[in-house]
Amino acid sequence: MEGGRTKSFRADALPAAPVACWKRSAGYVAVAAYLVLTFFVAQSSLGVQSLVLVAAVFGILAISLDLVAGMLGLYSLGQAGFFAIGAYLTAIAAADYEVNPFYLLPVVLVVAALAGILIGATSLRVSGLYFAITTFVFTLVLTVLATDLKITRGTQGLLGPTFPDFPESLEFLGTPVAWFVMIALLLALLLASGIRSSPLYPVLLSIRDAEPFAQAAGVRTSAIKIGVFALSAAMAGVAGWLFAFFGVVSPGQFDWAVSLNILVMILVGGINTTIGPVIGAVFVTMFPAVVNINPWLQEVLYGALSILAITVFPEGVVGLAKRLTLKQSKESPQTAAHSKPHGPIGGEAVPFSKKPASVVSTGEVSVDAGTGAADKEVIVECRGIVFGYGQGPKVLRNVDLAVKRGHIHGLIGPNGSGKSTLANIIAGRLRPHAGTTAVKGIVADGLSPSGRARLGLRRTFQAAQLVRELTTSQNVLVGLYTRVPGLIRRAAFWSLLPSGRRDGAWLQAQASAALQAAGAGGWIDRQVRDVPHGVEQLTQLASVCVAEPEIIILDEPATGLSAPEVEHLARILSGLKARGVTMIIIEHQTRFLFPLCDQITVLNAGEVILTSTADKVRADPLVRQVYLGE
Amino acid sequence: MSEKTTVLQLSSLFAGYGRFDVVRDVDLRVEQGEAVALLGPNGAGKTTVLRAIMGLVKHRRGIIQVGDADVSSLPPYRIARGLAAIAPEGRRLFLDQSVEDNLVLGALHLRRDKKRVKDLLASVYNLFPVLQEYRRRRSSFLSGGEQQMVAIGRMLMSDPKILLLDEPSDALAPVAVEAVVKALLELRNRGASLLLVEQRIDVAVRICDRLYIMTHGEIAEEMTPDTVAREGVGIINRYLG
Repeated sequence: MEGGRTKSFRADALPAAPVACWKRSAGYVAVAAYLVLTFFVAQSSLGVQSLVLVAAVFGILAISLDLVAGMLGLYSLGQAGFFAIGAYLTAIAAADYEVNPFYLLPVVLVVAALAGILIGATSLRVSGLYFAITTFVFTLVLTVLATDLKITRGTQGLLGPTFPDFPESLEFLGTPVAWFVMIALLLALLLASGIRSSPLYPVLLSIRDAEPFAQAAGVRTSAIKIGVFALSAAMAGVAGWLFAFFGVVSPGQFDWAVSLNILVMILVGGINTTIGPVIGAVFVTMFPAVVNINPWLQEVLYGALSILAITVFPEGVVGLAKRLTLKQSKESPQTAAHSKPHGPIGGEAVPFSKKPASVVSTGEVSVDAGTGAADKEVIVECRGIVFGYGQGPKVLRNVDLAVKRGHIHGLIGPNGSGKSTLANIIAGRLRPHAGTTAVKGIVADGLSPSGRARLGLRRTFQAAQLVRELTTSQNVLVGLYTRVPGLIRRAAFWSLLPSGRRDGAWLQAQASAALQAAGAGGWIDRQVRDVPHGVEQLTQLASVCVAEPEIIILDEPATGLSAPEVEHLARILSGLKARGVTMIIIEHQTRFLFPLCDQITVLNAGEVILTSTADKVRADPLVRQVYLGE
Repeated sequence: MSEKTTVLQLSSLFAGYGRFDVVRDVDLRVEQGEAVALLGPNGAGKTTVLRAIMGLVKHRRGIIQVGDADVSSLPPYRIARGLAAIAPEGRRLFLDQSVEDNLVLGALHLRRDKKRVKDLLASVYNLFPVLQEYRRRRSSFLSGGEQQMVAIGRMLMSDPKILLLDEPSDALAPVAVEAVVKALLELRNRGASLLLVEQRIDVAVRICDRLYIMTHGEIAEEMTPDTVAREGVGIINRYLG
């Protein structure tokens, strides 16, 4: 199945940019340098080794936390708990049952990941705060168990296994445990940077910053959160497995303070960066050894330095370095501004129908839609929808809506009449108190927003939901999520896989083309935080259209656009209609909306007062009174 | 032409975010009692001009003068104390607070002068009687047009020299747009000075005495509504798309 799909990429895969090539060779050089460093560490004295290796193990822990905290905004205080699972499993099995520790590695991985899934599944559905508390309690409970259980030998702890020696032929390499630890850290780094350079990265950030947007793009956000947390837990477990070889394993090494220290590491080093967590780990672990003073004073100094670092450089060491390099290149802001396509949106309109490679069609957009008998088919139907927020008055009272395939269906009404609420109910964000919704003839009441997106229903938001620190085109990539098979599976090795490079180029081309077509071609590489309101709307539109959906809900798409831009938008929407796409549009600019619509439903105070053609709506006295006011 | 005083004067203003100057070399003035519109395509820098006047975006070069005061180096909270006031895009009310609470917040710096706050409140209610009717109601229960009136009223509560409005007609039902336009015309009649960013040329033309067209961060042209009436909307549209 996948083979067939990937073949279609090849035809239009872009030639790899020289920059990517240069980046890759720089990566190889860095890995080689790292291995040389490892060689020297393995040869060095025991004191130096223990310092470096403990820092490396904590580096793995910090990276594991950064995966969830940096990319998903989930501040886990359970890393010390997973760390303990790895270390105790290894130490107990080796001490009491004399199991070869290497057989234990997969066991540790699985047990830690399962614990992660369990904790994630119970706490992540609620909110970030519950997650932090649950993980904190998890660590606390494990420390108590480790202190009280017989098998863990209480506060005294137990001795971990010794690491087997290298065979004679490899003895020149030095201490084997050093190699294992350093290579494990390297793998963790590669994993994190692999994810960061893959198209999964914008998807993860969209879960962190704009979850409704991610869900509307078909992303199963809960499953991904739990999955990434399980990965993070497994990494912390491996760190524990390595740590067991360092000597005694006792409860004090895994208490909640350790979890907090790991958090300090990523904050000091730079959250959501690849190398930052390692820098933070080096600082935190080596500080007591290097600054060898009165322990009381040392603690105070460490605390003060951490607070200072976090308050003065909130983006951490890596963020600070980035800011400094940026400042240097900022010497001539004017020239930069002039050289960039800067002003009005415009650009060549590339029709959406230009379909380079249909990877996964979200649905079979029937070609004959819009003509003939298929015209009569109802594609979205709401019946008897009742909804209210909390104890307040009902926002929707017994609303019926039937949208025919291939139609543009306008939804108008005074502010507060329930238009956006109805859109949210159709898209699955809100559950009605009564009534049913059917999409493409399927009763959709039990379907989540992402489930409905996978049915081919996409939507935009009135207040644009986008990741502000990503570029517009990276945001559009989120919209393409469902069209790339095996994205999650391949994410960690994305830039190493030929298929990843091919798909990456295809995705980029798609995103750029979609932005061009939406009329935001001049803003492709700009961060969303720097673009005006109207361009946010166009970015949303591009991220929706790029998925080639059958049904699109647009919530006030013309907001913030100038008259010519609105005209351009109307042309885009007509083009979509010509391709058989069904649209539900909420909009106040009737001059733009009315000529587009086949049918218009007028809502007032939560009730449908009329569904008819534009002319009849315009002529209706009640509509004139409550809405048009002419 | 004689006794006019300038309430807002921008002289070669540069402002922007990150590495980019979004606003470049902008000169602009608003006289006492005048309504001026700033039109232009998306990303031309209109909103940034308003934000720079309020001190919300740090200006990089140039002078911003409100009345006699040079506000270029003042922090936003000082500018908001009776110099300039803004009704931002999307209105940004405190939706869980009552109408009156939102209004009184505009006069936060006058809170010790109870009499003055009361007078200001009375004048706002005089301008928008509907707000007096709803004064205890939560702002989230108001219609969009009424919310925009609260946002305008909140500006008036700080008794500013100049009112800055960012797309007041945005995302409003046609009836509500009409109500907001009427309110702004009434404000103008009462002698307020307005600087308005608008996408809807028809709205701007009805309210304003002068129009500035901005493109690429610069003022491209200045004209009067008469010119637009004579030459047609095309004269502006060619800058916008």
